[in-house]
Amino acid sequence: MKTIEKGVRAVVHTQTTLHAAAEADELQLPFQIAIVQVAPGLRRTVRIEGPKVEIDDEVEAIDERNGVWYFRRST
Amino acid sequence: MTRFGVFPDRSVSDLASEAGRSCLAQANADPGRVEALYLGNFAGPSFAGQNHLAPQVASAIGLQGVPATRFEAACASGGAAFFHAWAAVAGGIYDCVLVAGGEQMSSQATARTTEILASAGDLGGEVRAGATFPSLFAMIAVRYMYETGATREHLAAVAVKNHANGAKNSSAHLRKPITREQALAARMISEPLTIYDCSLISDGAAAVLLVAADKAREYTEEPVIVRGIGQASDRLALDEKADITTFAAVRAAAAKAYQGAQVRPDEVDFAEVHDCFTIAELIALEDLGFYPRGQSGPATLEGRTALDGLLPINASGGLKAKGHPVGATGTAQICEVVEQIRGRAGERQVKNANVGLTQNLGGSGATCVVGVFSS
Repeated sequence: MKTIEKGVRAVVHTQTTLHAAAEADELQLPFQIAIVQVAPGLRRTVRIEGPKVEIDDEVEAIDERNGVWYFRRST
Repeated sequence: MTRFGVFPDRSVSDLASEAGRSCLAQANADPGRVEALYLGNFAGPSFAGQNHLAPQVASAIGLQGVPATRFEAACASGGAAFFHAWAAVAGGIYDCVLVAGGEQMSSQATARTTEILASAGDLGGEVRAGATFPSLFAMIAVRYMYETGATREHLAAVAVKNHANGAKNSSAHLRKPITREQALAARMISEPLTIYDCSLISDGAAAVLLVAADKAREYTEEPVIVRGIGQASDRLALDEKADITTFAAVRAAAAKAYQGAQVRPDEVDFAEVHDCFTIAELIALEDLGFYPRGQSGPATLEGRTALDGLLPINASGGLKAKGHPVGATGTAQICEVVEQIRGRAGERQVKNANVGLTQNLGGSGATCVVGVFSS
């Protein structure tokens, strides 16, 4: 099965921008998360950095911090 | 059931035992006849630090020495407690069981409550990435709107309807009608869901007495019969579900309930569905077979699910306005169906309320309990 690594590209399946969060994430508000399709049968919930993304946008893995993958829109 | 609202000075045991005592009093049932207590509670230990709640509640109700067990299935805890109690009674193990559900949520700050609720999601994946339940259902809404053409007006129509119904319910947490404009312009929680798309953080409890059919008339002249019931599960993480715009557990639980009841969706007169978020109600109406895919929003906007519509949904006000003390919700839905079938719902009484359905969802669809009831 394909795994996420830096530079991996994926397609946004859905997304939202949070304006309220759990206690641990409150200082980062607002922030965007997305479920991205990494490969057929493999979706992951990730953080989005940079410009907001929409469904069907292509995104790219840029970093992993504390077990969370950060993606941004592909250039 | 107790009134739902904000009662920071009351414990979950206090609330659940009030609901239990009230239930037994209404049924003229001596506590000595109750053979077991099934307690639905999601997060008593997290909200208040108190574990081992069921024996505490049993003692407070006056149940002596009987099996007393807490059931946890996230927001479907109450429904799951009822399902397992039903299985025990239907299987001949017990003749008389008390099913209670309760939650005390207001003692914590909203951000901490959000964190406790999020623990019903996949902690190692979606929650670590920052997901909360409003954001998980927001992502469901975004995808559903993309695939079906549903709009924010459809979501707002659910909120407006349920607030209108809740205003007629003296037990409801919020008895405040809202307008479509208010719903659309409200503070954003997780795009596209505003605060009026989200259910409430409530305290409260509800209880029902479940008795073998051949013993029911020893307690009441108006028994309400469990015609069919089903519980089903699905993957915990939203990103592991094949299709996030429909809930497989709802469809599976509904199929079992309909089959047991020998009832078709078009024979249901009214329903209490799990509107933890407005999008959840729209999807539930489709998964339960009431409307084809993509049609629940227009149906709601046209008033077909209103109190005087063809299929009234959430006459109680739903989780949206009646309130959502998580562990109490499943049993509170059943209380509402019983009141409606007995014709005692007052201002919010549904006409010809003969066959009622309840749908209680846990997490982002990982657990679901569906029941079909009639006189």
